[in-house]
Amino acid sequence: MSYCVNCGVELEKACKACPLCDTPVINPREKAEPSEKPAYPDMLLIPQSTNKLYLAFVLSLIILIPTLVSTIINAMLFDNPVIKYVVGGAALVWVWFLLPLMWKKPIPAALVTIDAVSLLLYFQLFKIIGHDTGWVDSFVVPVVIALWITVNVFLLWMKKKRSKSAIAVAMLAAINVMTLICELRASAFFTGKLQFVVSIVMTACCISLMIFFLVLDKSKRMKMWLHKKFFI
Amino acid sequence: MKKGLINHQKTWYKLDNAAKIFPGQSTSSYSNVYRLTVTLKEKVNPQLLEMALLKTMPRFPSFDVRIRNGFFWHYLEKNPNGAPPVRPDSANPCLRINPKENKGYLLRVFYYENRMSVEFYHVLTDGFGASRFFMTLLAVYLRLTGKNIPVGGAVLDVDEKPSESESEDAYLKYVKPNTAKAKRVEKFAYQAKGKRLPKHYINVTTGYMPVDALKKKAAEYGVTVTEYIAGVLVWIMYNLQKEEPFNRNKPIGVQIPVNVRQFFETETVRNFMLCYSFQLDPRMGEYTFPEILRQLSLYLRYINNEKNLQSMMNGNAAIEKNPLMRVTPSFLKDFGINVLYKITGEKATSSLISNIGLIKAPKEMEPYVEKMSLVLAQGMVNAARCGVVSYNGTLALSVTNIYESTAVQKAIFTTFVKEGIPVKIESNKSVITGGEV
Repeated sequence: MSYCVNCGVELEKACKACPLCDTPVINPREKAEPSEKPAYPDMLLIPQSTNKLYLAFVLSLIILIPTLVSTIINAMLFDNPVIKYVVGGAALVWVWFLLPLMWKKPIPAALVTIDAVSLLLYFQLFKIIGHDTGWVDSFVVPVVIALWITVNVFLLWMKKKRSKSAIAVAMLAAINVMTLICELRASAFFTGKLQFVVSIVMTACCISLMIFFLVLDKSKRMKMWLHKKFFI
Repeated sequence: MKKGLINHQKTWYKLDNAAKIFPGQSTSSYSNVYRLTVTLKEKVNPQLLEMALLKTMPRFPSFDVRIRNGFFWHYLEKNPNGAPPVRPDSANPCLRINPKENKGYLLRVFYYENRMSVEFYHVLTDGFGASRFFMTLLAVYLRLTGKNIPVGGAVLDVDEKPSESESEDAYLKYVKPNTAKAKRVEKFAYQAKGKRLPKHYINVTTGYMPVDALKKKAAEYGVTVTEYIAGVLVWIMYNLQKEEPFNRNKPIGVQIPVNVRQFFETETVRNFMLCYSFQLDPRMGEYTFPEILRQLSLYLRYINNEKNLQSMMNGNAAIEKNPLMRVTPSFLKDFGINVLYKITGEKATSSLISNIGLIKAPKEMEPYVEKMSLVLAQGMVNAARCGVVSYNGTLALSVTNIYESTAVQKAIFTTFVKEGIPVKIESNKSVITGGEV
């Protein structure tokens, strides 16, 4: 029999190291015998997770059937062009929520790209039906492209392990950039001038919070102080 | 048609008061499953084990069931599939028992080399009932291998007709609705945390210790063995919290399930247990190990009485009998229980110790049995959930942990070593970590 020199517990014959402290077992009189069976088999039972493909198929049917029925009824009785928004909306929901379920190992950047393209295509419906007064090209398209770039940059940056405070700073920066772009495009379209009102307030708030999180990230003392003052 | 209806009525059971909570609580990462394991002196023969299981199942009609969904409550009905399959064992025990797998049975039977294990979903039974079933199955198996094992102790006679009282809901029998109802008021306790193991992985470490040495040491402190082990757990958690950089001085809680049969006579092999919770408040000052043991022991001796258990039973039954609760559809109840348990359930305890005590079995069994253990499923946040069972002079303490670090297990077992109690360790760590341990 072997004992752990660190913990003092008796170990199984098949043990090469103590399971409690990982100290290697060195007993010249009794070497770990490969023929000795360990206490547990070398097999893990991993239950099958829910079949995502099956779930996606059922949910697709749930979306498809009412969409199809309403399209047929509309074609037979009303012929209202608004049905195109319903069909487009259903397709958008499918691409955004059900396509990732069908993907075994989805690549986040590819998903974001597909989502952005589908959103742009959906807004093209407004142009086709004639409900567009130019806002799709001057507002929606640049905002969606900016959002796509921002999310991709964030995903690329997140490939390395980051602290919670750093993630908060990055997210605030992303929100701030998006607010600026949205207001820039909206003001250019509606007033013909470039002006910042809401985004200035937003920028001030975001920058203050970013400074707070940056300081928090660096200062252990501040973390301790906050913990002391605000623990629940 | 009429006959079929009568038969059907005879072969279904309402879930007992304790079991009603488990379907709502159980998820893929919190299974409410526990396992009894016996290591024999010779290799287990799976074919004979299958035969033994087929012989044993009819003796325990409340185990020969599958769980079904009623509109308001779940219920158990006779399972027509004969017996659960006997399967090769794995290194990650106590996974959730999916009612759609395992032929619908709520218990699983495994074999590995000299080892035979049965896992029970807590809906079926508590440690007492599980030990009856397990020892009876073991006796039938040993008889099939040619050994002469008589009936006695935890070994029931499989040729005897099961009595109705063995399948009764003992809570219903003893609940007195018009007497005091206990209310549980517990603070959120300290939780030793770490990096979690991947889903479906748990760290199980079992320490085998001589019962005599433990009894002697416990007697030195003037406590029982359960109190002594529970005290060690509290002591470990107390010290772990002290070492943390942000010590919040949270209470240290330990939950101790208790067999209610000691005060309320019943033959039932279904659930009949309640849980005591002890909390130590570190804000009151520094504690020594003997102080903790004394506090724990005095607390348990003060509350462990018939009247207190009665009020706890009444309190639990009152929730079940609440008119609003009764008319709520079962899926909503499950959802509510699940959410409530995730928010509050395990947070009032830092650890749990379930001691099913000394398994009494015929002397003729002893030469064929090497050791026995009880493993509990992982908790949601608890770093140590401990199952204790004693057989033939050896006590097995199994610590289940969901975290990669084995610091808690190390602290527990080295405490016993320092106290002069020899410990023999076995663990699934090498398989779980894929390492060389």
